[in-house]
Amino acid sequence: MGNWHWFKQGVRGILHLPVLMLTLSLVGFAALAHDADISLSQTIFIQVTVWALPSMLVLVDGMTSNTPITVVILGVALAAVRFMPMIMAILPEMRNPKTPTWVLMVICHFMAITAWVFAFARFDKVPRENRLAFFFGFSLTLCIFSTIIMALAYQVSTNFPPVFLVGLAFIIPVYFSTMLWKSARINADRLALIFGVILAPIFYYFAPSIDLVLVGLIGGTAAFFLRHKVKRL
Amino acid sequence: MTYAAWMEGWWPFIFILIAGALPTEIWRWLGIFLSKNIAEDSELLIFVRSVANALIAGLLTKLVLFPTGVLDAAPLGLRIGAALTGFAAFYFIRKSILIGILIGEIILLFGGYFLGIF
Repeated sequence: MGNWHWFKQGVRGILHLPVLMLTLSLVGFAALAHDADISLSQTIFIQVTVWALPSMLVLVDGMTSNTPITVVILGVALAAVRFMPMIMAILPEMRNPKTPTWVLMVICHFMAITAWVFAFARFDKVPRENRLAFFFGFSLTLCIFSTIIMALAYQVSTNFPPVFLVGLAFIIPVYFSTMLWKSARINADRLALIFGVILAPIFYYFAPSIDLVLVGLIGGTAAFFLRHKVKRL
Repeated sequence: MTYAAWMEGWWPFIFILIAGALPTEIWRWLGIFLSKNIAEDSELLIFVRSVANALIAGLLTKLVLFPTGVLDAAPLGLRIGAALTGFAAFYFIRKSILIGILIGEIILLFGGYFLGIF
């Protein structure tokens, strides 16, 4: 069975629950972008070129609060830095020595937490040489599917009943916090999540335009140095 | 220079590419290039992952505490209560993301209903 078979197996992954959760989160993002007066074409452009919800939220946060571009870049970069260790963890299990780098660069554009968790959990059932095809099948389908749903939702989001919009907006924090907690590998990851929650309101109060950057740097540093001081979370 | 500096033409798209896509993509590329050389459990990687996790947790907390959109229809106490209960349900019931979301949503929406908001 070749790559095409496993690509299609990846495509069939679209029927799983995390896909629904991410898509609903992105529908929530569409409503948020609509509220922030960001046009449909810009919203689609953000989703397809960035393809990482936390980065997208930092970006929109910066676009609406008139933050200088350098601070937005710094915030987005800090939110996205997790992709480096994520890719370093998963790539040795799916690349083979003959895969050209540009192919990896294209496929890894679709690397985000949902596809990472989905693929990593299933690699033991996929032959090593077909894992790249399997991952690409899933992550590409996920991107196309959720972008279509998101774009449709953007156009009708003013007609949603308020209770539905509130429910949607609430999926993002709960889905991402639980997903990140679940995919955390060591205590430092979990400790950093807790520090982020505690520090966010403090820095929002004292330094609203650079609060996220400070929360990341200070909370992350604290988690790094205290990671051996607490028992397993 | 901000997003609102020039609303016309190509500027918003260039802003998105420079401020959103590039600073995200750069880490994906670095991950590819470094995946041959750096151990995944190196001190540096643990540190960068900690910074990223803290920042994202801060972002998610801001979405609950200081929502800019529709979520501010629900009062602050209800939002905090629903988020904490949802996460606790996830934590204590088999680390199930679905259960966490369902419990959080039930508290938020029924709470809002009984408070007469929806």
